[in-house]
Amino acid sequence: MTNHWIDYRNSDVLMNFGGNTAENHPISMRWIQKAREKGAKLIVVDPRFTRTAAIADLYAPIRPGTNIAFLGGLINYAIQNDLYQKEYVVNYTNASYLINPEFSFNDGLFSGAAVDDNGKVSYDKSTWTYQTDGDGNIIKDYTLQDPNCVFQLMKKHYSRYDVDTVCRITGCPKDKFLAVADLYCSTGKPGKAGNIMYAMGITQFTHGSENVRAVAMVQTLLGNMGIAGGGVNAQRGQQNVQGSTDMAILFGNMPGYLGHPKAALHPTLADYNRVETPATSYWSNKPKFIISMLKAFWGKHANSENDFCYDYYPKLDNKDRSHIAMYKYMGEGEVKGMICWADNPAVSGPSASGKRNYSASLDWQVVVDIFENETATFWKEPGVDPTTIATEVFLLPAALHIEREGTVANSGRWIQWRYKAQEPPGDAKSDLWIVDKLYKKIRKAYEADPGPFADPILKLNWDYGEDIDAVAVAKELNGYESDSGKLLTNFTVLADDGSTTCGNWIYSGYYNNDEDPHCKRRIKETEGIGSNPDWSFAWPVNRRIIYNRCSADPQGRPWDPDAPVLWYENGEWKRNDVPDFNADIPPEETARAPYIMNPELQARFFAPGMVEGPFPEHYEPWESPVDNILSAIQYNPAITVWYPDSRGDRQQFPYIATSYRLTEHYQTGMMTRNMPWLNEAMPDLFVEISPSLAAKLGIDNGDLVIVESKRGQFEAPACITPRLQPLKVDGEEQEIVGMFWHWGYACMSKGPIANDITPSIGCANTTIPEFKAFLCNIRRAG
Amino acid sequence: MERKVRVIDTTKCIGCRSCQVACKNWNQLPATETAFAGSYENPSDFSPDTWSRVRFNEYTNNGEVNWYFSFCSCMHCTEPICTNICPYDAIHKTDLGPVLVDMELCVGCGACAAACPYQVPKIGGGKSWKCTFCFDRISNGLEPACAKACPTNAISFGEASEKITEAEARVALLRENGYANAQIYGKEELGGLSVIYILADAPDKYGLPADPKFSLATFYLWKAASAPLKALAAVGLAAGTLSSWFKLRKDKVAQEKKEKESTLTKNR
Repeated sequence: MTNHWIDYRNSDVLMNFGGNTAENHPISMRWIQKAREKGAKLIVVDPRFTRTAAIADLYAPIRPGTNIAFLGGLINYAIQNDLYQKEYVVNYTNASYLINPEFSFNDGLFSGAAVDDNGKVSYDKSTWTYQTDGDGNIIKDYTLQDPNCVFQLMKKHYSRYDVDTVCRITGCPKDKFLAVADLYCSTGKPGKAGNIMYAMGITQFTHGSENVRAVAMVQTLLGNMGIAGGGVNAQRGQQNVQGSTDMAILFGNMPGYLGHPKAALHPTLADYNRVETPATSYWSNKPKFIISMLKAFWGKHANSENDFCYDYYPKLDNKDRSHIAMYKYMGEGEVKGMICWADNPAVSGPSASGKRNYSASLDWQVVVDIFENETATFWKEPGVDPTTIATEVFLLPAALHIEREGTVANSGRWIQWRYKAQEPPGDAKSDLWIVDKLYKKIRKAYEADPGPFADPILKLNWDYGEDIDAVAVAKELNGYESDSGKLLTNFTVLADDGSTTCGNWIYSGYYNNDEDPHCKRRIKETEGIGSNPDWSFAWPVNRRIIYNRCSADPQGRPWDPDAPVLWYENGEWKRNDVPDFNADIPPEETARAPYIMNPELQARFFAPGMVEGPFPEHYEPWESPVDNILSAIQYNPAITVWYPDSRGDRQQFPYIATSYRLTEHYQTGMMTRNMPWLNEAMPDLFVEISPSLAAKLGIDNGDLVIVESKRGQFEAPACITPRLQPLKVDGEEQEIVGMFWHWGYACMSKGPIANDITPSIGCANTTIPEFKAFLCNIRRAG
Repeated sequence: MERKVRVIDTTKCIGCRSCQVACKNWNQLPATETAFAGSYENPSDFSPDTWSRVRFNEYTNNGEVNWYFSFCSCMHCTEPICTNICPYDAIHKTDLGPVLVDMELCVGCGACAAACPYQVPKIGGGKSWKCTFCFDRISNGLEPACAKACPTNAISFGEASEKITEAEARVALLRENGYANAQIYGKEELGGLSVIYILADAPDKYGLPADPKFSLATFYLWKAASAPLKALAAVGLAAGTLSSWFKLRKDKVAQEKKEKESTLTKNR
């Protein structure tokens, strides 16, 4: 999130788009209700009438997988009706930048497209560039009138997203779309705050990253970034998923969102720093972050002579190392062993039955979890003969979050220290204990038999005590002076000469003293805008609202005097938050440089970093019941199609399927399907369909139905409900089948695995699977 | 001490059922066996092990869907029919608000269950079971478990006069904001309930009877079942006032209890 949960109370309009906040993030509603008590409105855009929709002021249905059409429609509506925040757009964004005149967009493809044998498009981005003058300065037109400026190109691109076209694509009734557009674009006025909160209903698509960009563009256009009550707010679906991504759980990252080095592109540290470090923006400090991180990894062994042990850090080869790819390679016998830690892909992965089959090709598998899950028991799934499986499986019992000490980072980036509430049962151990013992065993093995390249293991800086101490780890993440061990104030003092050690630069400052570390503070704010600066620590540098220079106009006057984040008064910046800019200089000097993490120092409507285009463009999901009416390109042309034969056709699988979660169960159910009270409240998986589809197929409420896709099938009772309605898409009614996926064959409450039918296809930028829009058939069982 | 109430603001309820689970947690009630029964609602009724639950009420109105969530439990009426009908005087209304069953006295006859206009008490193991308004918590300065667990403040707890004033203001605000049918429920019903609802729509849309009544038929039934009281009951009803009937019945029950106790003492 750019903002945080409590800040929701400052919003004037909240739009839950591609998320289901009441059901999956119930605590958000506490702050949403506070905003509503002051007159704020809540909009829900969702294929289903959810529990969030139930108490919203305005609900608009949308066909799964058409978010860009809807959001593009909002961009067009704001521009055509002059509802955007002009002063903000001119000063704080790249709207004024002139683009290479060779840049073009034609029938679904941007300039520079090259198609390979499999039909996959890759782009030569040499035309996706800014025009520069002789000195290399970007040429700008602050009147936004030049036909080659970003604003005009954007205006032209989204002029195709007129209301009628958007409604034909999305299935949203015109009156509903217009009501959403009117209400949400009302936040384009200075002093009005609009908040878009989303989750997996934005990300889990073949165009998920472009969906997020489209959200960011709407927010930037309306001047909703950097202000209280605004923001692009990714609501994290697990209590510490923010923390795990901060710590590089994603295959493309190192800690602190430093790009993971690639063997071909970054053979040496100098190469990495040269390629990855921009000349401008705060990222120009990147070498300080990575060198301090390498010092945390290899301590005294890391020095300027040996590239700070950069060679020891594993590099990505030229293969895709995402989840879908990893399982494909596993199925091909390339992967010999797997440690599956707090993850249950046998239930949560796309085309999950295939994943369980692939597990049998492993020599060994270690599962770390709080209960015996489906991944650990793939060899005894009902119908599987264990004698045919040679994989050796180990299950390590883990402690639950309340049974161990450490931090959890919430969606608002607040890192909160938690103390152990009780001892874990039996042999269950904390993750830290397990990784400590595992490392020490591995080191012993390498000591006994070093092999060709043992140094990365043997020289690892592992100084956390005999029994690993969470505080020692926290201090290393915070950073210290390499020689003295003195804790660092924050990342502004990091150096690129090895004199500082810091495990994760964005966390620096959260544990910078022994007496009163910030992440342990619990002082509630008594007045202000809800920043609560003395409650935990928010990365970076305890900043609660990112890009907060934009909360004030170029002269430093707050757009909203009732909820000012920072404002310039009597020659100085007054603050309700930590400034995201240099607050020691007059506001005019930062007026056109508020986005300090972008090389341009301004927000991007035109984003050449994206794989499939600098403007988000609507493509259909990989499996769709209709043709793309906007262009000749049916689905995102830049995706990798891993299993072409697993794509269902619309004759055989005529209904749109979408998957989601419920309040009562959590992810694959490890924490909830073993809890009788929750099983009592929500005992079974069921499939939601509309009364019209039920009537057509002769299905009564509660009847067992078979839901099938090209990947597989499962059986479950049907829940017939008006909360799902067919949508009129390009003149034809399209039915939606809704299913949640918390069940499997392990645990106290057992049920079918809905992910057996989801596709192994992912986003072109991130490879996150398209769980939210695919095709299925449904019929009565028996 | 002023009586306490819970206010259920259905316009803030997100149907998460934290209340339902917190009730079971605090009171250490086991989960019952359930199965999908056609909607999100489960358990589908109160039971000796389920004292509070959330109803999921689904409607379509001119193509628009409404999905109303309503927490329900014992209403702890100011004039509770259950205390009056109980032949063993096992149920009493406390000054603080809770209507409590005295498990020493209760024999599980079911009179309260039959009489309750909200079908709350359930009989099991020879006793009558229902929400206690977390008497153990609220008499020690805590809020009820359901209110404590509610993430949106849809269930709140406090002194009746203050909470009712707040609820009335909330209803006025809702009406201003386009909820034309917004209304309060429980302020007057049955002498004033200890569960006050803020509704966005008519009570029956939430599974609440618009005009809650106990049935006279039930009275006749229990009158017949409680043979020693029969004559007195007839007199009371003939006289036209139920309260006189109650008083007479109570006196009679007290008398019978006294006799029973002395018999027991003698036998010992």
